[in-house]
Amino acid sequence: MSLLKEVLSRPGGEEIRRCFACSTCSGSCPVREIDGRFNPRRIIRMVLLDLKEEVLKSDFIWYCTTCNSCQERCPQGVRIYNIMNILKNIAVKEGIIHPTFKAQVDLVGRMGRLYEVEDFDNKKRTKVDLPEVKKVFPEVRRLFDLTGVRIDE
Amino acid sequence: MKAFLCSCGNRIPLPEFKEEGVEVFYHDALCSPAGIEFITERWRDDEPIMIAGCSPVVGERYFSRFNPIYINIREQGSYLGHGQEKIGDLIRSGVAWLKATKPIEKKVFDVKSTDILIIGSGVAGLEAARLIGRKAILIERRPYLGGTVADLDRLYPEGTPNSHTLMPLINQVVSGGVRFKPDTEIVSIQGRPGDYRVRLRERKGKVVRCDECGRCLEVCPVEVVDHGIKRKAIFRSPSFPPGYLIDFSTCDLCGECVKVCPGEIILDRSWNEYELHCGGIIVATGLNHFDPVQLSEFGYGRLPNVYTHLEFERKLARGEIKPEKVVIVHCAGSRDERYLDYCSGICCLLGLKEAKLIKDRYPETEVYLLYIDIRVRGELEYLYKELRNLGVKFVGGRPAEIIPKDGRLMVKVEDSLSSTLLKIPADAVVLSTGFVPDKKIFDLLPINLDRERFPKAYDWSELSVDGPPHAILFAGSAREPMSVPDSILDARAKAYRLSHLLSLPRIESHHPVSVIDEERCSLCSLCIQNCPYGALQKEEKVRSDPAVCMGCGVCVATCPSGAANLESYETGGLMAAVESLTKEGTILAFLCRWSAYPAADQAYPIGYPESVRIIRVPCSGRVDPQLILKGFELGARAVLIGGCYPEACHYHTGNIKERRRIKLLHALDGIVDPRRLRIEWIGTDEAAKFVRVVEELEKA
Amino acid sequence: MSSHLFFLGCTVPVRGQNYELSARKVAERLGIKLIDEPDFACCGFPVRSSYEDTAFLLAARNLAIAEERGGDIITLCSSCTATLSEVSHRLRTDPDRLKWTNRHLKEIGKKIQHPVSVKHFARFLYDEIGIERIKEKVERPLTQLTIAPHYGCHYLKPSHLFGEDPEIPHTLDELITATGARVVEYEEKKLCCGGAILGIDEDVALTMAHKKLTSVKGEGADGLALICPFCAIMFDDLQRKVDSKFNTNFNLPILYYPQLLGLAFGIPETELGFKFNKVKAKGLLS
Repeated sequence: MSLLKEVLSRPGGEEIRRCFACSTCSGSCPVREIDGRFNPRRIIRMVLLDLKEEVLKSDFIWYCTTCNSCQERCPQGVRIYNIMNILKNIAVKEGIIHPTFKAQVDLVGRMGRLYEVEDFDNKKRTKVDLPEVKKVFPEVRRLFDLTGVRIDE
Repeated sequence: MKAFLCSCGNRIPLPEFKEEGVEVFYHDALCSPAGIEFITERWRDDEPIMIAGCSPVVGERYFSRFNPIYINIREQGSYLGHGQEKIGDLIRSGVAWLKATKPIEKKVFDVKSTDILIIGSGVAGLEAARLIGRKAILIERRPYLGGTVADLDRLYPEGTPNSHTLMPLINQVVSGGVRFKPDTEIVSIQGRPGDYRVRLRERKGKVVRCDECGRCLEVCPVEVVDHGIKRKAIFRSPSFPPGYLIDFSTCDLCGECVKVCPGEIILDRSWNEYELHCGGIIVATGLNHFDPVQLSEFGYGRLPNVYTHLEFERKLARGEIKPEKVVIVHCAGSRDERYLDYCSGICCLLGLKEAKLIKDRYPETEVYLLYIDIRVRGELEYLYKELRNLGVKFVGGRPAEIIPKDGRLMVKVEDSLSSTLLKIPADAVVLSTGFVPDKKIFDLLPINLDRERFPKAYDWSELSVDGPPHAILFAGSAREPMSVPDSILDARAKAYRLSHLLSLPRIESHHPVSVIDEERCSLCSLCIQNCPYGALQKEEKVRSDPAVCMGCGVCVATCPSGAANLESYETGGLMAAVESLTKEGTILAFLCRWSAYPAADQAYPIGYPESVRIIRVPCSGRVDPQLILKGFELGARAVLIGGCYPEACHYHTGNIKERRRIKLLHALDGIVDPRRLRIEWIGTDEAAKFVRVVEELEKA
Repeated sequence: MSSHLFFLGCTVPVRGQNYELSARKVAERLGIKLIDEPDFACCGFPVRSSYEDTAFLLAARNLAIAEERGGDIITLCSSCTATLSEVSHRLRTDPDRLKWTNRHLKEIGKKIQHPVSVKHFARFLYDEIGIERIKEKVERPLTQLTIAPHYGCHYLKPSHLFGEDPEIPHTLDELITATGARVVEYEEKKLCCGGAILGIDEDVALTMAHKKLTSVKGEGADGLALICPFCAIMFDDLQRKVDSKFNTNFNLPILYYPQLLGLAFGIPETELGFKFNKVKAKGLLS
């Protein structure tokens, strides 16, 4: 399937064709300021040209800090932050996932938490009068199963 | 009753057509001068006739004065290769429609005054007043004439001082017998073409006698900022009348000026209200500036040294700023979905102009100009080129933000062309802000306008046969943002047009309007609630005002008692057309004359099934359920309503109202099969979509 | 008034005890009753980039629990705030998505009818308690302190959910001023902490943190006040790392806003979890 069509079909991607390359997004992006190889304007333009391979295999789709500055300022209502998310989601669907995100998914899937809580942590909490917290949420795992997401142990 | 059949130079094979009580005439080219003559000789004034030939999209421009029922046997017949049977059906439907309809009544608007009120004394208002002369009444909200141009320094493309354009105009207006009234506002406008009653109010206070000694200025304690420039509540006139003038919106009536004035000053903030009679109105209210405070990332109103182009120009002209580094930002507010979703048209020129003014005055100043696209047309390209040669740095990008840094401003922008992120330190930032229409004047005019947009199409729409004649015209930037030369030309055209219109004893029109049958009307007011123009009023009875009604027919489709009707598109006529066009298997299409109908006209190169029968309606919102149900009753395979896209309706929301109606019909169990009744938005240029839809319906 | 369910998220209970302790103390002083809900799990944010639907359901699950308990949600983490708020908003405005969600939630015995509202603790203080009432409780105004505010991204954006202009944010400024401290403006006030890409490119993330710290330090601030545990990891936990990478020695105390407010309320430092702060903030008051 065409990358552009897929982006257009997902919530948040509908307005991508409004982009007139004014570069408000790239001027606003804090990552682009540090590493010019990550550039939201260029990514949006590449999607519009339907360069699927180049976009999905690029390391840089993983570089969005989700700060949302681009989207807040875009004069054409292109939801750039949502589109970055969509691109990552599409990449994952195509079997490309950054190892860090993969690790996070596995952790949350297994535990229901981003950080594993061990007995030690709860002891530490009790010591300062904080209530203990649950360690594992099997229900969360169930939601991963329901949406067809495989969790590696 | 007469029917004229045209073969369009033998492009249409005309069938032998006979019908009782109808005289049938054949011709090869009715649109030719000989053809028009042919009809004229056989036509009695106001007699209803039917013309069958090319599409009315083409033909109505030739034949509008006969107000015919118009049947398209070319684009809907011969061009498609459809046979004689269909062409015969079409002609028969026209005759049936003709028989069921009454002639459109002539609307007469007596010209009771030939005076023309001109609202606003900018260059457009001045030029119109200059040409109209003694018949013109020119009113101005501010105490001096000249509008925006009076606030400017220089004008481009020539680069001459504003006074070179303004003062000759003003002098001719003043000496040409124009009645002009500064410090005057409109309270209300009522009436119709040729006969408007306008209530005005004029400030009672004024400087009566001034010998320009300037003592008042010294004592006035009220300081105001007027587009970036400090002045007192009493100030020296930038144009006309000369001498000192009072801005009563800020004057605190302390009386210090009166004490020192050797002449005479009346300090009175109250108004003198009076009525004025005129036959036509030229709206020349000019531009309203978009307020860039809303663009909070640009810091206007919060950070020092961020200006609008007007403020910057005024400060520069007075030597109040001498920046070493300036950043000009285009599209501030324009082409922005959050604020103005249109291009304001002249701000590129204004941005370039400010760059030129800086370079002229301070050649060493470094100028950056940030743009999305540069939009200047024609010979103005020279200015763009000259500025490139002068070393202005053009940056292809819109700034991300403007922040204060080290006592200066810092503009952060990516130049998309070189993919470079720039952080430009600047002493001044100039926002080339966009323009917004004057909603206040819209509220006062007795015509209906989209409040969010400039009424640019309003004037030339009088070329179409729809709606009442226009004796309220927009000139200059009130119509859409314009340069000074364009404003002047526009004003000239409007002045001549209106003078001509009012030179006749009466203004006549044959535009179809809604008519309410008093006998049938139950006074339920549904039509009043649904009329987008406020054309229907209920006093003792419901009446439609032909000076206001635009002829969409939404009231007819809404009326539960069959009392509302639309001339030429009466329920009777449309019903007769449905009856003569519908057979077993017909696809009956009611198409809006503004969009789907012209689209279908252009579908003949693709072709579509012969079973499609089209009825033209003024708006999809005119189609009432009984027409649809009648079609199904007579065996129609499907019914299609084709309308404009939601935001493009020519009558505000006729299409949306129709969609609601269709949804209701869909929801009624067992009455209609939803697959066989569709409403579709079909744009003028979407012939292929029309074909796709009817082909789908044929399989439904 | 409905009750307030306290949403800790993943990071706060294990890496932000100072935030949690101080927030609880401050809430107690202000008479805000925060109810612990042990069934709240991950908000969904870490999964959004990979599996948006799964992430959506994770958020919805938490909303369903809150609805069942009859309370609204108060959060400490800004990413949790934005994620839960976005999902709540979507469920309120998109009936199809609500149906889809409930079809899945049914499998775990949960259901959403009226998506609950979600508010960040700081915004709750600003909107519901109000600056005036906060000021009344101040016993020890921190007049000797100069503090730089760090809003972070998800506390402000998407702005249509929070109603504060992210270009000129003011709530945290005012909350800090209420403690008696002086607020300092700095160039990189709106800069993101970089936390979200720490695991993607540490160099870029640390460079962002370095930029922020440089800008704050340059204005002579005594400390940086913030309201998100992710941001605290970047500026507090990793400040040493930034120092060694860029050869700096910031030594800039990073305070959670409730710690600052607690100090102004006269609550002893020991009760506000200061021992968990990596850059020692002790002596800030002396």
